[in-house]
Amino acid sequence: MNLIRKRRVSQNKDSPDDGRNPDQIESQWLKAISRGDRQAFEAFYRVYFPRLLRFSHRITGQLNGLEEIVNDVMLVIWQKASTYDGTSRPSTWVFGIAYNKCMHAIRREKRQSLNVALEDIGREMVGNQNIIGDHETSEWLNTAFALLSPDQRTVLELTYFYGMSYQEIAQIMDCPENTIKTRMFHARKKLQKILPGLAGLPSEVVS
Amino acid sequence: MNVHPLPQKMTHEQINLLLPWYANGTLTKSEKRQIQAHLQHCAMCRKTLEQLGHLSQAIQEAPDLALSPKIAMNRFWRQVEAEDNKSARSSGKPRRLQWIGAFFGSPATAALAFSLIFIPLIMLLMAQWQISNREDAQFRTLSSPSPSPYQANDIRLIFSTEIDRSHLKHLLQPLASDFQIIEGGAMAGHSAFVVRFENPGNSAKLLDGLRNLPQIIFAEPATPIVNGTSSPGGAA
Repeated sequence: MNLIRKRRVSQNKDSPDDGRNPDQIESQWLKAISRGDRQAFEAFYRVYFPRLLRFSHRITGQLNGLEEIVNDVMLVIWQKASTYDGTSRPSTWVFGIAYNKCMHAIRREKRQSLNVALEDIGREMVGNQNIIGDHETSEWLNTAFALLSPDQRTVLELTYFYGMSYQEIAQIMDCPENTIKTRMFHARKKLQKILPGLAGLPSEVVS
Repeated sequence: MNVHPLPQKMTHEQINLLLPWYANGTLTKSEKRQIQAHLQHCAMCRKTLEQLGHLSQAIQEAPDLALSPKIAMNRFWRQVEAEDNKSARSSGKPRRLQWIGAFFGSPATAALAFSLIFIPLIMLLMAQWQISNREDAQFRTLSSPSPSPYQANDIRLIFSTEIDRSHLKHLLQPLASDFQIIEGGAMAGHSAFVVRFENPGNSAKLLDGLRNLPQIIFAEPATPIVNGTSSPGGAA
């Protein structure tokens, strides 16, 4: 879909525009980082910081501690770049680390009951769909996301914002491809309840 | 719901499961061909695809957070430095030396500072050794060759100021609930103690806490020597 393609190109606007594929550039950065090249790491950091910041925000539903999550991911990249074996795209490897860090942060937050509060907002919305009409799209999308599980949010975000294939997402989340498809299906089913007309499911599947 | 591996010809349900990735253009050619053929005669999937496009647009238009990578990167490098120090400590590199190197800048100034710290320290230890001999007390110097009553959970602390036992207790209370000051005292502007921590838990964390006490210049486990052999945790 054109919209997603455009976005993926714009995400790489910080990459050097020397005609090389962004994946090749990022692979070379990772090789340099594995040799302790700080300059390569800082270039990598600048490109991935906004992506990881958004990803961790969307997956955890938190605003606090996002920089800490991103820097934890970056620390793994700085220390373990040599373990990137080139069998997947660099972004798949990086988002796999980020997904694990986000899940860790969610477990930590759950213990402090913050995530429960987010889920409560989502449940309230299901009971009062008129609220949706009073919000901007991004606001009610955020609230709708809170209704989904972190795994469902991850599949939606990686598919629609980062334009990844279900095979890549399965690698990132370390689970079978069919699990990704069913997570997406159930996410769409939940979204359909509060965002009718957006999730792409016929009404009889939702009910 | 049928989520088994794809057969030659996909069912309507299997196509429906794959539509989000048809929408983002990441399916294989074979999958794409099957979906395109299905879409030609399935109005429901065409409608679904259209709605998925709206969802995709809504997700992409959700605003990003604006945080400066520069500030975050500065914090990141500080975190790396802290991690490096931690790993150097766990690999046996003396932490105190690294700290001093970072603080004093050059080995020469560090050596000068060391001499300023350790000359009075050695004088203190010698004086205490003499007192302990005189009072028949059990306090020993770091280099005492005699058998030691120390256990693995005994930690030797040296401060650059004179502090008494009650002050020491006050300093240690936030770090450990159960401890006993085995020996030590203050003299000539310095003080040295050996403290037994009954439930030390994470001993590396405890040592870190001790090393961060005000005026502390030395915090290391007291060497456990029993008749010339090491005995972790064993009392003489």
